[in-house]
Amino acid sequence: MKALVKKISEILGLWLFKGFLWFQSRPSIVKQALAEKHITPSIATDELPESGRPSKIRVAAVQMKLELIKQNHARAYAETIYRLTKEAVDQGAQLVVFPEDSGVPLVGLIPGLEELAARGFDSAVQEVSGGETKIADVFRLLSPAVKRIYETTFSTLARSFRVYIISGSAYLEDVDGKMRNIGYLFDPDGNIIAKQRKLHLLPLEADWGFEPGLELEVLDTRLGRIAFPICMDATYFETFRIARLRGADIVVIPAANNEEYLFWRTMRGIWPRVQESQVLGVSAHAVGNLLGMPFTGKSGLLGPLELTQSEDGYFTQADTFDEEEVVVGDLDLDALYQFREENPLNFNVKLYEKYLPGLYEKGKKDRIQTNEVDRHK
Amino acid sequence: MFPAYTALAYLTLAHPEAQLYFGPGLGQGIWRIWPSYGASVFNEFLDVFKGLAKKHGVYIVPGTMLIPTGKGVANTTYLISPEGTIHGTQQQTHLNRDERGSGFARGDDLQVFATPMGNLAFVICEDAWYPEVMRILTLKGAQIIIAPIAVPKPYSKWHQVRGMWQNIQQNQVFGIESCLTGFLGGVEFDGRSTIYATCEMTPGDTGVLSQAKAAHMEDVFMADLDFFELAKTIRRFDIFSRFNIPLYKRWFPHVYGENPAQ
Repeated sequence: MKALVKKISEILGLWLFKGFLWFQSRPSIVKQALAEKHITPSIATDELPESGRPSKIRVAAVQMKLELIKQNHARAYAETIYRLTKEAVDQGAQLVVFPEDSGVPLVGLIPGLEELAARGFDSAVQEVSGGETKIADVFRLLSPAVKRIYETTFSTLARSFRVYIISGSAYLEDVDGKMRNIGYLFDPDGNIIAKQRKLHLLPLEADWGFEPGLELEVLDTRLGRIAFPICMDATYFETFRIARLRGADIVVIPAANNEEYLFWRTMRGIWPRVQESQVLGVSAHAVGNLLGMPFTGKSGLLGPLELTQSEDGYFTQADTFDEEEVVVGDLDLDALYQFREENPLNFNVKLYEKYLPGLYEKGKKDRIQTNEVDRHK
Repeated sequence: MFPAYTALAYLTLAHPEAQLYFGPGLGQGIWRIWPSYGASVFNEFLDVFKGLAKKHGVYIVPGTMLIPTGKGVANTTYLISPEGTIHGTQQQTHLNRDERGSGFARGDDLQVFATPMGNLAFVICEDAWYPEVMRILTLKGAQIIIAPIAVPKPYSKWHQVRGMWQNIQQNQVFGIESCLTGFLGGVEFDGRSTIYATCEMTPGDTGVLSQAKAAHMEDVFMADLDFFELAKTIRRFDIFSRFNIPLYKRWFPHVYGENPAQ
């Protein structure tokens, strides 16, 4: 009987909390907050051709500081994203890119989270749930509320400013019930053109119970043909190769590197990918400290070495790796097409047919075995 | 190990009258001299290295030689064993426009060679800028990637980074890049030979274990390759463990054929 009463109180508590989340995430809160800003639409995207690719586009990479939102969650979040989007649009951006985990500050919807996190987020969740809950389940509980605030905020801002926005990403429950790290592309009418699920997870994300996505989206837009995989996806040449071969000219990487800033380690992501697949790149990094986790990175616009004035592969880059910045610059698609014509990739398809993708399973297994053997030496 | 085109250097020194220059006539030139003296000079070249390998009891990669094949000349490297025998060979598998214009033909296979030092494999010249090559080799078990390289002047550090450096990082193996410097066949070459490991294993996090003093001069240098440390690095985070194989299966290899991105 006691167990039944406990269960009923748990269920009632959960329903109360879900009701609280539903109330806190009303779209009207976001819409009201943004209506008060009296946003003037940009004319920058009017200059983009209705069909075919543009010669050049102006892009903003938002280096966003991740900070836990502790109260008035929906309003505070909308105001933060508004402020950053406005800074980008004021400089003529036609596409505004936010970093990975841009939706994570909304975990502040959990009352008392900061105190829990002070003891270590992972262990706090285990303690509260009695060890039965994974971090992904916490995000699952928040998912309907985060999704409402997140989608309403970015959609309203894209429509109000009349710009394309790549939202970064949030941890959300997917249509198949699995928890994924999901990014959005909004058009200047505020429509969701596509969602991109992170394809290569950090070990931590996998441990937390998240699942990788299964498809890479490549979209035709008035900005050109775009892909927007997420962070770790740029560690793998396969991501950019598939994007390029499917016609992508611009590959955007929302990123959140939870580590100390070390220059050469940062060179293992989007930079080599842009070079080897001859695309234009945008990286938007999360910075700051969220629940004891530091985030670092320099946002920037990238291209093949030969197209960049300093011949280092960067058109422009943030000045800092730990401060909020909005980096704005142009991506010249005409120059990219000319470069590709003068430096064509010459693939050895016969070779790839022999080995790819057949080798992946075996190669992965063999490496694990090799390192297990080395462990015991 | 030695850089690319060493045998061509030997050949042009021994027979300047062959007039072998990089450009449209190079492949034909090799074909022309091959029956009369090209093959024998090349064998002499190999014999020198076989003798040195045996004398000193070391493995030697003598650089590369342009070998006539059915469709042109293949830029080919050799692994010579401490017994003075050829342990393996590899042809360059990707060609740039200049190489195609010079009558080069590409190989269509990649090999990994087991040795007591570990599993060795080669990427030759242009191959270093195609990530497919090192991915295939490391999936086949390569632990040390050897790259005989020759890049015309001017030297670009970043061009080197987008080649061997980043491929070593994304496959978590060791790399040895030996670059040609000086004039050969009408072209001036520059390059900074380097021994690579993952950033985590190198001083200053640079991904470089050891490097030539400059890009324009001759140098000989070495480094120790610590496989125990490499295994530790991989155990901390194994890049291969997070492959998205369903995605690759959906697109490889047909995506190359559908839109060859020329």
